[in-house]
Amino acid sequence: MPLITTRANASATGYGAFLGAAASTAFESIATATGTGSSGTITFSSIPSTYQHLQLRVCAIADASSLSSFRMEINGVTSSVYSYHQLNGNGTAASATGGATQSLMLFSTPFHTSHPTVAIFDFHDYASTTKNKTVRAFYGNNQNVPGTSDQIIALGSGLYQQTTAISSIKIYHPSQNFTTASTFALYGIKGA
Amino acid sequence: MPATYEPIATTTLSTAASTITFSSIPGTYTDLRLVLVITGMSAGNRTGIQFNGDTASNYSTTRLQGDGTTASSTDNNTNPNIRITDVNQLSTSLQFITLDLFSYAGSTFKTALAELSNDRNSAGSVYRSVGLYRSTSAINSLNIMLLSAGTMSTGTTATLYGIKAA
Repeated sequence: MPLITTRANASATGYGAFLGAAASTAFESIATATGTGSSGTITFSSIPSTYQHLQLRVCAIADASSLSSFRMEINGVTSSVYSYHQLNGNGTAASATGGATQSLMLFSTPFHTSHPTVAIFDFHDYASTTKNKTVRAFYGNNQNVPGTSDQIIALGSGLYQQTTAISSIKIYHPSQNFTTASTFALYGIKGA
Repeated sequence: MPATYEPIATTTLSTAASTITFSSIPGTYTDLRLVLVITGMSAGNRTGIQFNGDTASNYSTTRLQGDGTTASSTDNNTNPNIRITDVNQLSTSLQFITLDLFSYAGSTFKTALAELSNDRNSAGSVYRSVGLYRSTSAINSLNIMLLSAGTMSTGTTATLYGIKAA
């Protein structure tokens, strides 16, 4: 059973309460993919439209180190309907980049063979058939190397200028493979 | 579809404390999420996270921050904890912190994403950070700590959630 303790400044004091695993249906697992070691592409298809939002959680290890990017395509569309922005920190300075009228969304980050690159992508109102779609990204990689491009923390946004519901998401590395220790988990968040 | 976002444990400080520890964390989830609301702490203090009782310099953190005037980035490498904040806090300032820890039960190094919001009505800051724990052991305990002598105030709450993939 999980335990919680707190330590007061002078005298040790245990305090806490355990909450049992309460069933909830508001945040549900839709599908999970793991890397194969021979591909750098993960595609979630046939995504149901029964949720309010989607969240994609990624823990990725590449088969080679690089300063590269997560790239993303929606519904298999590769025409110039995407744009993106990102705010970055590398331990030394903050910076910002972006792209407009692109054929994909791009989220720049380092990858490494043993230091995971992690990300949370939120797709808001993904099933709407009247709105363009915006993606919020929070991602980073840390390799315990000070002040270099081998570490980054970033906030990103992506725009998909289509009003069709999102039914597939392709996320990929442009040149490397994801190892079998990599996890890509897609969740659905229900509305009331 | 199975429910996948579950509370593992929660605590609210009834007396001021310098640490909050979650132990015996089950390895049955894919990710962990910590939600921490610190109602105040000793002035000049900072918050750090350790895993598995490991106090060696196996941690590093890269931060992106804004203080209302300037955006900047800082880091701590080969450090004895993931340092969520790098700013001196006031004793009455409320801090809202979340930490997402990915593949915590796996056999790779562990990476976490953290957020901190701290507004002090004319001062304050917002932080985002990526933390690394260079250990391949599964994480079964998590320690929230202050980096200097002092305490987190009464009413501070911490909840640990498990997120389970299908």
